[in-house]
Amino acid sequence: MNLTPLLENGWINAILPELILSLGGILLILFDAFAPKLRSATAPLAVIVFVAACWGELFVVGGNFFGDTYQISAITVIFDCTFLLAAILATLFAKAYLAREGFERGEFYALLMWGTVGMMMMAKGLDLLVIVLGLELLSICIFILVGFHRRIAVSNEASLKYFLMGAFATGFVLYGTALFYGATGSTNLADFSRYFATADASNPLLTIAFILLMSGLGFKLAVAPFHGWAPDVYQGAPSPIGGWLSTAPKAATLIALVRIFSSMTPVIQQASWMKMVAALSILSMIIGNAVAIAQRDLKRMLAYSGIAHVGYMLIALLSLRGESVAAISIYVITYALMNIGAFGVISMLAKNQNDPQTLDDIAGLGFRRPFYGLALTICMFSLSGLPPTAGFIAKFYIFKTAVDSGHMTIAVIGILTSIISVYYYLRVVYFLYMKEADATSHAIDPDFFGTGALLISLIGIFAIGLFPTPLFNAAGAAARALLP
Amino acid sequence: MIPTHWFLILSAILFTIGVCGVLTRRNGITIFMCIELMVNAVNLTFVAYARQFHQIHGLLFVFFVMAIAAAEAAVGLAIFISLFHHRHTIDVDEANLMRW
Repeated sequence: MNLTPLLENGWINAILPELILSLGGILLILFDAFAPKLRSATAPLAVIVFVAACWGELFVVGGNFFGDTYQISAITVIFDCTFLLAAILATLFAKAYLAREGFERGEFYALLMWGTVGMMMMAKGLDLLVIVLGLELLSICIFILVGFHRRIAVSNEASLKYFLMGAFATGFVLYGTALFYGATGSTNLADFSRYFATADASNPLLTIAFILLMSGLGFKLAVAPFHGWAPDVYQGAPSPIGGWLSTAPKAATLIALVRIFSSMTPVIQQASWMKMVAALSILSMIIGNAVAIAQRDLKRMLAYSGIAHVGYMLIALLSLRGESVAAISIYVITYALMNIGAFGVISMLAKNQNDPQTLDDIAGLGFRRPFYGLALTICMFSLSGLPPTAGFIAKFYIFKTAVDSGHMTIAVIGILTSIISVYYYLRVVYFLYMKEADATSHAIDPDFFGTGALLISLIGIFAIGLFPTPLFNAAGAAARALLP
Repeated sequence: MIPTHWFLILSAILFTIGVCGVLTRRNGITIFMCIELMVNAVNLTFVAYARQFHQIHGLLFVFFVMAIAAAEAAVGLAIFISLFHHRHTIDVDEANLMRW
């Protein structure tokens, strides 16, 4: 009998960022409990913990750990850094938000940290058990964060909707996993690839399992037609959380899907499951962009635009090559920078969470608040994919990989719908600079942390937009190590 | 020994009842109970397959699923209580502040 050691050498290095974040979260809660007078220091401490986790990424060694259930490679480091970037931006925006709403608490940042650990588990899981556990750790943190503003009804309602939808979707993910277990006799993705190499593509059990798994994860990704919860949740959630929620969990789900899909080749192509994914992608791009035009509330508009952005990212998922994984990783970094930036500006401009942020509320703002107006404008340009911003590079790369791998039709649909999207993004800019302001504008306190976060977003958007080559090379090399 | 597919049919029926309950019921707690029914149908599937394969792996998964369901219940009931403070109802049709 062959006994393998319980823990491989170097396992501490392998999960160092996760350990730092888990312990950091516990310490923040204790800090909040024992030093309630120093609550305003929790946000800087949280940023320090996140930066420490980034530093921990330097010591990570590649390889498979914990009995081949946890894979660490260059691409997981890139995704980890994306999650940490999103969390840092959300923390910086949340500082002023929480102080304004009067509930600055350590557990807010702790939940962000544990949610980030969940995403890291999803990004690295080589076993459906690890992926599902990461997904649940993330989801439970999101349930609480969305309803964190428990004194106002909108936030409660958003939390209820996300909870019921999320738990429902979890049921589907679990049932899909159970059926795959029944078909393959394992939940490990390495065993999956051995099984699927010779599997019968016409087996209905596999198709049912795939549909269940994909619809469950589709809920989490907010792809049409599983997007019903997204606008309400983004509107009701605390604004910095709205931005975080619309970017980082999607990135984690996408990289998990890359691993799951690549373990299912060649059946996934033979059984035309990819056609289902393509249908989800087309539907998301059309519904997201069409309904976003009708929105007056900025957060709801960004929610529908987020549905469309997931549609673009799914295009790259259709061809499982290294190129497309690199395209997805660049897209999620860019999307995190620009979307959290946009949500951050909206958060800073609002009087409080109940204050609706419609297009009329930002009328004429570009001249009254030059920096915020400019930042929102650049985020909108980037979201609509205009050069020289990062959004252009990311979209270009996605569509290029789609054309290279022969998905011409869907690439054309993507380009056409993203041209439609320019209308509603630039309408925001139009309201910012070309509309007369209301008389009732309120004073905004200067926000050092939020401004810093905006600067990070803007520098990132232009850095990727003007000098994409280093990121391209790093992501390309990392992705080719994952998939040929 | 009872054949495995009997268990699978039972768990598929339970899962479907759960899904139908989520889609038709309006009381928040009842919806959550239906979700629990779905999750337990999944557990039954895992146990049935684990028995067929003579494996421990499927049984392990069940323990994790139970832990997940317990954690979800803790957070979910807190959300319901918080909602009840505002509305004095947990009817999900009453949660209609936001409409597109």
